[in-house]
Amino acid sequence: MTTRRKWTLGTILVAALMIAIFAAGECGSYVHMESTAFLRVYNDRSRSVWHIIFDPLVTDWNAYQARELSYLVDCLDARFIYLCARLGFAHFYSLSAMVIILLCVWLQQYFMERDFRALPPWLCSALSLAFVASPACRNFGFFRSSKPLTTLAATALCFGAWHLFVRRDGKTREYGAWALLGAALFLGPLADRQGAFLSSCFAGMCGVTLAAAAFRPVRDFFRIGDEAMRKLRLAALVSGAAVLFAALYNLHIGPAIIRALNGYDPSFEYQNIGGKGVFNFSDGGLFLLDNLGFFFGRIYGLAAFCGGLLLVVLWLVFWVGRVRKEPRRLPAAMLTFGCLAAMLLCANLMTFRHHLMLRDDVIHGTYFLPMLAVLVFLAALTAESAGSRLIDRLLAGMLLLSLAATTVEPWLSRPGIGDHQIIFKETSPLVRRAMNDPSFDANSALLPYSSLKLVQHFRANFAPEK
Amino acid sequence: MIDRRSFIAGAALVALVPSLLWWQSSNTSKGTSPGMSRYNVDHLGSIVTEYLYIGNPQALDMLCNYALQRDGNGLYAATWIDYVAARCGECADVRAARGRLAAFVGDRTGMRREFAAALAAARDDAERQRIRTIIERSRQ
Repeated sequence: MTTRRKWTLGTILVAALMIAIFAAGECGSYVHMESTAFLRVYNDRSRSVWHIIFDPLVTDWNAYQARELSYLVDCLDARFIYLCARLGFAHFYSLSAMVIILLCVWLQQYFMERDFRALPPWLCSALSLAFVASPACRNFGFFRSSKPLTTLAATALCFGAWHLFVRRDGKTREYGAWALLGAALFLGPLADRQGAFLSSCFAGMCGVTLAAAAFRPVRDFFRIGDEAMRKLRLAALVSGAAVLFAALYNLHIGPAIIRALNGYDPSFEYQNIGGKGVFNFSDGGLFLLDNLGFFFGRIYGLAAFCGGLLLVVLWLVFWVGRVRKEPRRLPAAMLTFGCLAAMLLCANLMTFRHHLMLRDDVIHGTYFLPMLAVLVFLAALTAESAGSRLIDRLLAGMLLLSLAATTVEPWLSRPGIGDHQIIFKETSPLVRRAMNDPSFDANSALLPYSSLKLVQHFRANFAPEK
Repeated sequence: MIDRRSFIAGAALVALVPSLLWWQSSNTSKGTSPGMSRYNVDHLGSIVTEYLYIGNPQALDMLCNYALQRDGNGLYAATWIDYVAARCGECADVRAARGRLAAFVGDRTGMRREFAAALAAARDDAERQRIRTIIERSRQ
């Protein structure tokens, strides 16, 4: 076993250990204010799984978003939680979130070991471990699997595409990588609207690259051979088919299944953003830059925003210098800034639709998770392209600082009254107790209304017989 | 010089992507779903208890709607009324909620006493009018 492979396996093991420690630190986790309803919905014995997951009235508060794949995973999570509670181990962990984050780390390490050979192994480890330690990742309470699933799709798409296009000579048939890419492109949109956006961005980038590579001087300059052109055409075809399928599913297939199973047409009001959201740069920029500064520097508020802005400027300066020195690096530079621009556009639309995600207690949460996966790829790409020990050490230093902050954060911060989940966080131990102990008086336990309904539902339908 | 097929395919894809995104995000259909589900109602009930938790006694009226009128759960309502009373004192909203609880258990004397106390505890005419509305509605 090579040293590099040992680092890879060690990182995956440490990541698994970190996930276990973080989950244990949550002490059974808490029931999210919306999950109190979702747990009841997904454990409704009177309906089939298909009737439930194709009913956005109960799975998404009537805000149809064509993400039924994530509801299926949510259903499995919810049933696992009830099963554990029935066995006397009530908790509110999302099993899928833990598994998916570990899968992301495995994919990152697998591809970095093969395709980012100029990167020192300790930097690859630092990137993955900082990813796991970020608050966006470190939320293992049951809520929705849509963002973790999209994160997995983003990781597969970024690293899988890089593997196919940049590091291969075309002599081996990369069926596995193509399957991974196809799965990410087709299944991502069924997991979340961010997944649909991600597939669309990939298709757009394939289109731009294919159109540019149609010119012989471009192909000659960037040494794009026939094999690479063949791959590019195939990627364009697959991604084009994926975005077309996603649109048809969203507009026709999904609503037809909902109509057939539940007898109504879903509402598109939540998706109906129109054109205004595209130009919502103030909120989208705040969301993106704040999270950039926070991930790399573990700084908050205005400092995080300024840190993020500084990072983007430094990134720009780096790539401009790199491309001037070595013009063939232009595609990597364009990929980096194309991804950042796509993330900004995505943030513009998300914050326009759901302004609450700019709240202090939400901004660093799971909404940023898929973008974080792309950011890990971009950081690896930048360090690989730099080929500089100084930049490697600087990046590793920032990531280690971020990791160190993770260990002290629980002692520095406690949920404040501004935390919109505070009552659910504080009453979750009582909810768990009420589910474990049928004799516990839930009515006089000061539970939130829907938590009380959850306890009543579990006791009426699933509580073990005494 | 130019690979026409690749160029056309690339350009078509570049045009297709924003068109599809635009097409999807500009769908204005409101659907035919039957409005709120019972889970939506419970979710609103939780938002009400969240207001109570941070000490907003006005949310007691809505809590009574959920707990007393919808579920008939007097113990749950009483627990939250006592919690708010401990935080905010026996204010007009707390007395009005106690009056509703008394009516729920069939204590007509207690109900009249609490409603009178609620009106007496009101700080100004606007609050008196609001409490009067709560009382009138709960008597219907």
